[in-house]
Amino acid sequence: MPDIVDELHYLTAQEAGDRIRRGELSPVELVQASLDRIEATEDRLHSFITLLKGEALEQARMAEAEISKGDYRGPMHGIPYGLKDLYDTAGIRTTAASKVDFDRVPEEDATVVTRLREAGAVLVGKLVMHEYATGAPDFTSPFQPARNPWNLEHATGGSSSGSGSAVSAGQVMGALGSCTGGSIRGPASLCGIVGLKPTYGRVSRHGVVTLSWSQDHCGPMTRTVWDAAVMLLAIAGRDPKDPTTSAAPVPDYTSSLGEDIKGLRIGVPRHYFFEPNPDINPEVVAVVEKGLGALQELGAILEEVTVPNLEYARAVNAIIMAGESYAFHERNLKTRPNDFGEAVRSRFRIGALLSAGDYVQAQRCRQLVKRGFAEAMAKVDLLVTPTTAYPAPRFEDYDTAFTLRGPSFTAPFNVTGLPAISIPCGFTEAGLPVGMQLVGKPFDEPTALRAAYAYEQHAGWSQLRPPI
Amino acid sequence: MSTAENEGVSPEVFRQMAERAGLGLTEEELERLRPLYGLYLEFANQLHAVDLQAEEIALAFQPDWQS
Repeated sequence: MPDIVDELHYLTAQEAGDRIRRGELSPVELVQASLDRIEATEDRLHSFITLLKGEALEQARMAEAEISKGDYRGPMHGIPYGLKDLYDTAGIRTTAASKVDFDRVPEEDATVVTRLREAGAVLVGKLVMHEYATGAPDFTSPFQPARNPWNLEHATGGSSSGSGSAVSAGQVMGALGSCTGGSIRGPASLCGIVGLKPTYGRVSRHGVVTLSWSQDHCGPMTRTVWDAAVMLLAIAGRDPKDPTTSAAPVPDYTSSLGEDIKGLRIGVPRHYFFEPNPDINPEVVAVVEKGLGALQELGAILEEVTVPNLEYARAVNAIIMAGESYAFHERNLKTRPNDFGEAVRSRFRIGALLSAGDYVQAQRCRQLVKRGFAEAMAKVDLLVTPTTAYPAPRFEDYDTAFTLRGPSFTAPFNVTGLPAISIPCGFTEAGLPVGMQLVGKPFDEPTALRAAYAYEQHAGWSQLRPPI
Repeated sequence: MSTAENEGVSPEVFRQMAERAGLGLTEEELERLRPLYGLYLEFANQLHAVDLQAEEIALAFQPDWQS
């Protein structure tokens, strides 16, 4: 197991922010450490599509000047972060990792980019992803797939692949991913970091390249739960430019961190997520079982629950995604199909072959799935599951079809919009990270974060570093 | 779940569907896409088999002028 280390680029945002606030660390020094780490590792990791070295140092100098004048904006001020390359950035190329948008330069920032800038965060670069947030690692793409810092022969998971590798390897202190079926929690789990998909409507999608309007979510990927809470706090809230955002007040997500979880009721849906199944890696389940045991030691009460109608979630997610993604990409699919990668082009084309009735039926079944979770969670505060059914696969073993055919432990929460966080939970015998998923009730991110933080502090996995 | 052996519709029917959708696929593309369509057809059939009675759709139209 790798040693615990204490290097500047591996500080958490919380640690770095504290030192910046106290005047013990300069944002310029911190951002330079991030850039140095990128320079030292990027040829092996391929996390970035666009590196913004000059811009980042300029932002860091501005942050330093503001802070020295007493204008400290909060815990994200001066913190280096990255963006999955589907978040629009004014004047900076935003490709969604596709040849279709190879030269696209937006005129306006995505709402969340504006909010992070207002919080004083320093954008270091735009991160690699699976093309248009779907598909698989594609070695024919002009953007090489990101590699897993825990083993470079293994994939990171997707679609927020570069976000996973960059945060895990200490290239940045946090990143934004996006998620339509598991694209934040999957790579977080496979790269040994924290990934938070908030409640649908909690974070604006304005200025974020669409995959599926009604299932897309934006959220943070960080090394610790506290950092995820702070990053969510910076980006959450109503946005008039995104009519699906909620006007519900945004709580201070850090305020409940550190509270104990004695008496917290945790539902364990064994019937789908834990039971023996040739498509579920037993080593992953065993690691998460230990995680459940730790939650119990911390005082949580475990209770087996059954989620009615869960069996429809996979199909609902796939049919809605197919219809909505085709509608978004139809013009380019017909006029310049060869600019899409093969896997993505095929998936998007399926949407043209499904009927309007298929889509509407999926949106009706979605209600059943939502009610099923409401029933299952009526007497518990959270659900806990493995995040993925398998650890990071080797690139040569990556089975694109399996990502559709096999079980998805994450997609049900894109269908229902429930908040879900993946946290590091241990390792396989081969040294690959395993994630545990905690699922809250609508807009109850605080309870999920509280339990995740309690586990994280107890287990200590977040202090381990990949061997790169 | 679907496999390559269970491709949902015949090649000829699939060709007609793709033409009607205006996809302009080559023979090779048709051949490659048909197994994937078979998988999605199984998904769709699973959902059509549910008796939803008067269930409404999950998305709702918003008449206000800000949305």
